[in-house]
Amino acid sequence: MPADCSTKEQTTQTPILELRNVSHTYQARKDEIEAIRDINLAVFPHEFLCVLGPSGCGKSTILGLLAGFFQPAEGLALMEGEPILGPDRERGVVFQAETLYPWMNVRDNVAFGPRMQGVSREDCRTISDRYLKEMNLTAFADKKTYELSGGMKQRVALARVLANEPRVILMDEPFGSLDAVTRIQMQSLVRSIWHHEKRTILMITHDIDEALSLGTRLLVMSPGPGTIEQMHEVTFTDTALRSETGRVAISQEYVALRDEIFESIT
Amino acid sequence: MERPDKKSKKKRDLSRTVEKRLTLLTWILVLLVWTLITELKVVSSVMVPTPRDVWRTFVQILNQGYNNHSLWLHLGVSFRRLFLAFGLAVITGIPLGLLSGYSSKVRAVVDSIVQFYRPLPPLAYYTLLILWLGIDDTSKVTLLYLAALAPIYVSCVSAVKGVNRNYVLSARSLGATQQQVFAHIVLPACMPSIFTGLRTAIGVAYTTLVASEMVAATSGIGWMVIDASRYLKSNVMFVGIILMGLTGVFIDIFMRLIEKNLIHWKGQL
Ligand SMILES: Nc1ncnc2c1ncn2[C@@H]1O[C@H](COP(=O)(O)OP(=O)(O)O)[C@@H](O)[C@H]1O
Ligand SMILES: [Mg+2]
Repeated sequence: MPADCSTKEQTTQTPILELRNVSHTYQARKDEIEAIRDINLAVFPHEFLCVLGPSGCGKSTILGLLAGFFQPAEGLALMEGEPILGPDRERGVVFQAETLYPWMNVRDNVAFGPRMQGVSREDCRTISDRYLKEMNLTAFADKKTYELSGGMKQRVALARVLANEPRVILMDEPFGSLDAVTRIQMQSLVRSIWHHEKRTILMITHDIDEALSLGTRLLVMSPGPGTIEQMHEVTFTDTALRSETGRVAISQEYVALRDEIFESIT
Repeated sequence: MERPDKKSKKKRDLSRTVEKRLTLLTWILVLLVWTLITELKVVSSVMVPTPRDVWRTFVQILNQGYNNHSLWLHLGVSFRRLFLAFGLAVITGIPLGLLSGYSSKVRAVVDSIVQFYRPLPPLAYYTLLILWLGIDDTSKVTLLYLAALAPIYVSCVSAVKGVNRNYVLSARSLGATQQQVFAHIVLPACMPSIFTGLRTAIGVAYTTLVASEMVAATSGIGWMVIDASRYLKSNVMFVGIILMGLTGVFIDIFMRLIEKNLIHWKGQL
């Protein structure tokens, strides 16, 4: 495995996001918690990178560093070669917990980014119309956010990030709190957006099936402190794009890889 | 998805009307007991006047005023003091509290002062204010201002500290600047608890107002009660106290009405 956990072709490309030899330690009251150690990772244009690992292995820490919510204690967090100094609009984030603003209706939530950039009222409307439609939320444009179901809320959160046209979308277990059926619907939605709009996505998940069925590349982490143990290139998502049901075909290869990852995590 | 919602709403409405009836019943009972013990002369009318007497006195004060001033003047004087002080506390307390919530340095300066005078009974430093500012309205408005300022300030500080971090981070990731985060995220996120602070503040100011008029004044609804007590006019005292209670309730209803319309997301954070 190359140092930055990328494939052979990718090593010749320039990554959008990069962590170089990153370690991070949290200062808890008395002791220090080493969350991740010596992480190397890169996100390349148009890929769907899934970071997979059990709870507490440092996945959210990685996302926070890439988003710019805090700086690494050791090593470098880079966007196109430049250090990441804080959050900005190039890296959109979909959180696990709900972060819709309840004082704005659904439409204003979706148009928040463009509005902050000073886009005119009419253009904001056009933009929000487009993404509300894409997320099947048109009928809910004027609703209050707290009137929506969990799945709809995450669709609004996704629409809000998409409407802002970031270079990369970072998602931290975005469907973790959804029921099984809604979760699969959301996965199809994300897959089709990634495919049709050629977006670049890094998704964090603890769900092996979610990672296998969405990712083009998987990084498997192990805890205590968090390190990247394996990298897999996968193409199962293509079978879903081709299929009529929009779900992945569970092949022998899929099952074998799932078992392998399962073994290594447990 | 809608049906269970509606059902529980119906249930809630029903229990609400039951509770409304209970409240009504309580007051009817209070009135009944009051009538009984006074009409049957269980207590002397100097101690507790009859409801009829209180009503007659009310109509009389309404028509002829009290101590050469109309009832409206007494109420007007009191509310001018109250709202002037409350208004001042709002326009200074909110910015000061928000700033303090944001910056630990500002907090280090302001917090200790507010925390020191906040638990003091306002009447304790009212004597000083009278000494410095004289006996007229200035000292009263200052007193009420200080009484209202503390709860507003405290609620703003804790509101800012309690803002969901992910709201701020997500807004920054969507490209909002620091100022935009303040205007579009922090301020609205703080609104519910600021409003709770405002309601507390006007309550505290109102009780302080009545107390201050009892110490030094020549007009005002609180003064009317204390003046009547000197001549053992319990019927006038009753009128004053009931009026104060009712206006207090109306102020709170009014504040809650504004709150409900302005902050629809309260309880959803
Ligand atoms: N703010 C924090 N302060 C102290 N410890 C933290 C903090 N955030 C995370 N940790 C610890 O760091 C480790 C990794 O956390 P996290 O990145 O959230 O893992 P994951 O997202 O994979 O569940 C955990 O042991 C967690 O307890
Ligand atoms: Mg996490």
